[in-house]
Amino acid sequence: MPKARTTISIDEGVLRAVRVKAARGGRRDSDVIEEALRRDLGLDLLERLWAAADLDEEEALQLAVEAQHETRT
Amino acid sequence: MRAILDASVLVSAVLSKTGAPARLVEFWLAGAFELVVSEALLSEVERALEYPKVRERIEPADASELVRLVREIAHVIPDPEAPPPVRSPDERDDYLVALAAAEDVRLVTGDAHLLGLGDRLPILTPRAFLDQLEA
Repeated sequence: MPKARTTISIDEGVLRAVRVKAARGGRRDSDVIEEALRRDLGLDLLERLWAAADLDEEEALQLAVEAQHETRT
Repeated sequence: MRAILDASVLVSAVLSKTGAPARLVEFWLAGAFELVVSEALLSEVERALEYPKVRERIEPADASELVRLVREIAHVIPDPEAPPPVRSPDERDDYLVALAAAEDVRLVTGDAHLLGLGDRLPILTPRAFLDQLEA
């Protein structure tokens, strides 16, 4: 996905920590911020799950309905 | 627009990356609609993710993280005490019908019993809801 430029205001201490982490890792500040946001918003999780998800839509829905019914109390 | 995605939809969304449920999760995260959940629904999602055939595909830590994500980003409302306006053939579906009716939102499901009530309430398949969002 293409990058979009934005302007945000964040706590000075947080920005300092971002810059320290970026410098230590030889990365850009924006990469550190994006990584944290992706983790917090669950985007990394979904990418990881979808990378391993090999069922088609019908198989997945069938299994999910089965799981829903079989685990109901 | 607000909608309930039941456990079958939320779980299938992470079992297939190409299906309508996965696209609905992308639409939700992109702000195309607000996801409405309750504690009973979140518990059902947790239990479904623990089902052995699902557990073979989704690590416990990822399952916990998924539930945390939904709880944090979705609109969590109390489970209604009022009975559902229409009863499902499976009474264990009734809390979802009551929830959808109380919040006046669409209920998206892969469950055949619930979809059978679709002529009386806005209950639809993931594909049908996706079509509405894309229209």
